[in-house]
Amino acid sequence: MKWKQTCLWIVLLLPLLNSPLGARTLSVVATTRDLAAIAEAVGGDRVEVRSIAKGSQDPHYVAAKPSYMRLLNRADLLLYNGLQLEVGWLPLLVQGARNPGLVSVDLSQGIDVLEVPRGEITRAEGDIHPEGNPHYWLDPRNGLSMGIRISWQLKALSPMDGPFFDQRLEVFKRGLEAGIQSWEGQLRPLRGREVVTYHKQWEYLAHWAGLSIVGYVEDKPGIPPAPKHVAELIRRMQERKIRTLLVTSFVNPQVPQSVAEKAGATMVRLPSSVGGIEGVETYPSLFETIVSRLVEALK
Amino acid sequence: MLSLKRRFLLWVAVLSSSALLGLQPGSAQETELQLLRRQLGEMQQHIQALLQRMEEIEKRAGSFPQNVQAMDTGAVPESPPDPATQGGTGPSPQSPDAVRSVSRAFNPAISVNSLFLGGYSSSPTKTGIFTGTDFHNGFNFQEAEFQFTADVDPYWAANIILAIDRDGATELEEGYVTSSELPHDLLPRNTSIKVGKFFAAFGKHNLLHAHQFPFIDQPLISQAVFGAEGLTEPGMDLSYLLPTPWYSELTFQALAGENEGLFRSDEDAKRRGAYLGHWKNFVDLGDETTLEWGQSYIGGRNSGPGHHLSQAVGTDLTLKWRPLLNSREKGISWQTEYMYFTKDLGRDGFSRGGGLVTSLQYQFAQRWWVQGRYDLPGIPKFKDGRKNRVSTLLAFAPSEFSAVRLQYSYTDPDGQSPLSELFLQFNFTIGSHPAHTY
Repeated sequence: MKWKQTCLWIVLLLPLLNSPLGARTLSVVATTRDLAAIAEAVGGDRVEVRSIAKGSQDPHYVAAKPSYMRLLNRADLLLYNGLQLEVGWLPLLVQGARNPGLVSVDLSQGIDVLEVPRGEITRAEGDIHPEGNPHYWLDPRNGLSMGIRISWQLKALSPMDGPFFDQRLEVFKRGLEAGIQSWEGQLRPLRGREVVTYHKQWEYLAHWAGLSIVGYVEDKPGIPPAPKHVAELIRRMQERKIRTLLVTSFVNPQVPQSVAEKAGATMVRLPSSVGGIEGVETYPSLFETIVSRLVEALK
Repeated sequence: MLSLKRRFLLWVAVLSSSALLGLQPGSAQETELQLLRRQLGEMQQHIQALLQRMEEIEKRAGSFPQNVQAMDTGAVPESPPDPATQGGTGPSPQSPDAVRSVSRAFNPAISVNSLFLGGYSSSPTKTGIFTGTDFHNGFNFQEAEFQFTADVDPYWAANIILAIDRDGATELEEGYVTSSELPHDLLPRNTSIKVGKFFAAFGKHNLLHAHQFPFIDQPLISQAVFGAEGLTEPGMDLSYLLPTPWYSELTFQALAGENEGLFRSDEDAKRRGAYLGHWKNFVDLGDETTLEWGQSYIGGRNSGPGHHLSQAVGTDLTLKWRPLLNSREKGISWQTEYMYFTKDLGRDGFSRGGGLVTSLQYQFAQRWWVQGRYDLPGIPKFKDGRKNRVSTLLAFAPSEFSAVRLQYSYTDPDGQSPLSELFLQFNFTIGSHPAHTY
């Protein structure tokens, strides 16, 4: 008799598992580890976050593996960077996902985008992003607005958890704001310092930190540099006594290392994404590492 | 909030100039004019002050004057963005010209790919090997492809690919619409539909356009079974993503059945149609390696009296490796495909045969690939499938959008004189950035 009753209860309660009343974690897919890290911070245990690009991977060149389509097929929310960072692979994944219920959020909306090309653009300039420089997550102040945006989306998808998400967001914001204050203090002595970078990737960071980028090893984004340009860059670095070359952790260090050596500068490897180097697992810790390495290199 | 200030300045300028233009000269308005002049003078001073302030801020912000946007921490929106305004910037003020002009906003994304081929064959009389069509020793314009892509409405996306061949003839290579959501839930979940003319989902190679071929020519067995153009048919496709722990997709296609390689479909005879099934499985073996396995079947009745079928089955296996670190500089892809067909033409005969092709692509630097391929059509043997072929290829890709490829092929004589072929192909793409299929 007891057994039958239990069965009855299970049958009666089963539909609740799928209903909005039952506790359900939102499935979130983020294209990059940075977006995933922020979503994890503001979503807590009410969301299950997966990222497509690894932190140690160049997010411009991710293979559109069908397994990612399957991931998107089961997701409630897709967070993407936008500004054509994922143009080479994300459209195919979304198309292959066959998930009309998927909510896609472009996090570049509402960001003050740098280097929006003016006038005619052509591929003679390399892999130009027609909507502007997409590496905006490298300014921690943009992280604040990204967190707000993501939290708002989570609340829209799961209104029941609104107060929970609000509270998580508050913690995230306070932590990040405190971080920003402390990092800005550490970076203050470096303001106005001139650096050279490999890819056109550190604009937002430089803008925030007050560094001035005076040259690139890769003069045309995405195209390996020509020897003539490299020679000219080395000459300019020597002339202006530029001692620092910033490189992301996933770039092959061979070329930038030789440039730095010839110019008498130091190559500084910075993680450009959460997960870019070991130990960087949260969005604030990304800047913790970047700032400490910058201070170390430029002091 | 400098952007606001800039906007303010703009409006000040617009308002003041329009106010001045609106005035009629006349004595009654003289005092008003003086007042306006005085106000304008004040405004100019104000603008000067603002400009100075702007310059100060620009200096402070470093060497990127164009970057001076609201970037201080205070600019972070405290309230969530309004979904209604998320679509980007609002409509700009309309000029009279804008009303008359035709909007380009919804133009399809266009990309154009072109192939030029330098070819040499040791036996100019037997040039049929190259994608089944002729080529001349020397320079050839191989093909130009025009691709148009756009969303039709919230439900359909369209893709149209026109090819112009070396003779200048234009052909609709593919033209279809796809959807994974239709009104009234007409389409079940996890299902997508495709309607139009498209490359049928038989194996791996058949889905590729000429500029995507891993080698300059087609595998011999594909040519032998489906002919030079491959299996491209008008029809309808339904594909379903299975709820498995790995990627598993079932595809069903109803096709016209007009492929001249596999079917006999006389112009005047009634079309019989053909049916295709494809099962694709894909697993990640870690972060850097993937394995894909596919099974294909196509069958259809041949025209003419009686109930005579043509059928083909295929299986394909692809192993790919690409490191996470320096992912643009190294990669390996190994692909093998087997096909078997039977063609029953009743009193006109019966033929069957099969064949294998296996190829290895190795990327050893950002711009360089070296590749090898072995064609073994003739398991079991059939009339056109007695020649084995070995090919090697060296590819140099200055960027994602251009490539130069050099290929050498040696075809087994099989009782005839051996055949050597040398190709040099230029491949370039312009226009909208195409996403890359895996």
